Amino acid sequence: MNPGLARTLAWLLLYIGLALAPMIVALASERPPPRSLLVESGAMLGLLGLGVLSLQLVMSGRHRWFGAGFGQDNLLQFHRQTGQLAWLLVLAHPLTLIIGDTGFLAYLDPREDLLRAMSLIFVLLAITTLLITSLWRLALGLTYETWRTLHATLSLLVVATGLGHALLVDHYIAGIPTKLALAMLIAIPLLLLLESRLLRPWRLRQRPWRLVERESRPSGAVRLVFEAHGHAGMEFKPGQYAWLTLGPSPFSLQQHPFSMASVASRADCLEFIVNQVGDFTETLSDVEIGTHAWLEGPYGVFTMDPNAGRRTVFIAGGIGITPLISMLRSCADMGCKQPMWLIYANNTKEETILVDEIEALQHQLQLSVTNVLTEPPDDWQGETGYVDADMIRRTLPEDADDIDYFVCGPPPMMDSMEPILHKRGVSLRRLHSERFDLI
Amino acid sequence: MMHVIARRLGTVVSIVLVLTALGVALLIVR
Repeated sequence: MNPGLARTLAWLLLYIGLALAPMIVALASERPPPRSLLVESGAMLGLLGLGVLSLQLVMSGRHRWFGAGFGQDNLLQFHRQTGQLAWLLVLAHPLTLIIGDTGFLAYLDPREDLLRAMSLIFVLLAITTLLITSLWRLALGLTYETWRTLHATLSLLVVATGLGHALLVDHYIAGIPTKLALAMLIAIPLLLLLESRLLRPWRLRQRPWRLVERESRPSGAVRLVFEAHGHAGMEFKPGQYAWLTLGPSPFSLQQHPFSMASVASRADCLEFIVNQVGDFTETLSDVEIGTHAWLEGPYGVFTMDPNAGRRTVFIAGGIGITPLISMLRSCADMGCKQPMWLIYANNTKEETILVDEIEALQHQLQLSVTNVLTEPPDDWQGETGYVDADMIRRTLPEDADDIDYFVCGPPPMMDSMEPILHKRGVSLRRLHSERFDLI
Repeated sequence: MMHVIARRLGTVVSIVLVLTALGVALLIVR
């Protein structure tokens, strides 16, 4: 079996096992007499909901051991689907119970038990808020920082309340050993969430960075260079990214992922090129030299090994050039000799960054560059329009098993490029793509 | 491509989990 497929299957089985763990804990002890099918279904869906919700905390925590090798962007797509499952389960749990036995309506009656009813209503509202704000964050006009704070807080409260509810309902989770086992099981993801939000920034305090260069480009992009202050820096592979926090303390809501643009041999000096498209990025052109920065990383599986000597095709759209320029710079730094092709698409000539450097790299590497503009000036000599199958056929060599493809660009470009390359015969093993619209 | 696969895997795993929970419920009452 393909090692990648085997690893994915093993991870999925582990995920399924962990999601079912609360149900297994509940059923492992002495079982009460069975009730109707609807009531038992409701109970099982509730226990499954608790398992899935707990795993949501782990999945978004950027833990290297969890889902290593799959890429955070892919893991978040999985997280998005299972988040919708969690919402359905939390809703289906009381509904199925009430349909099976109307006596369960008492759980939602504040006159019966105010705390119990309020906590259950809170969980239903909170998980619905989580779902709506995650799927339609931009449409709702929520800033990334507001959304992130809301998401972390509500997730933590939903899982903690869900655990409290399961422990208080003395049916399947009865008896001290069962209650303890479930509490310990759910405490792990809760502690991992605290680790990622509190302990990790605390550890980052030992590894400060300083902004040493800042340059605003005519395209609207900002180039930022950070130097490690009192430590060796961050070893990374070309193509990886780090989470950047600016300011005196790493305990901040402002934490954003950016790809390293610099050469991989300089762990102590990292360069980022950022498009000013959001609240945070628009402040970057005013950040003062000497400002403290905190970098968490490196992350990402969108990486190349320049030493592998494989022929390489790079396809970049706009600011998607940043991880690719790190790869090209690293290849030049290591004196790579293999043929490479770069298709670099932008809307306008003014928006295009790193033009001179890419031209210089053509002399250092066996690099063939195709510049593409959707809105070209009258004197434009390069390709025009969107990158399509025809352009790929005209500008790239025949596909072969020794050619790797690295594609990074805005979502519409990725949506069109991936099927085109797949139809060209490029296997998933050789097709590396990175989406920078993580959330 | 990978993100589509990841999303589909999320859907498949969700269905497997729900069916497992309902199957367990069925086993409990039988």
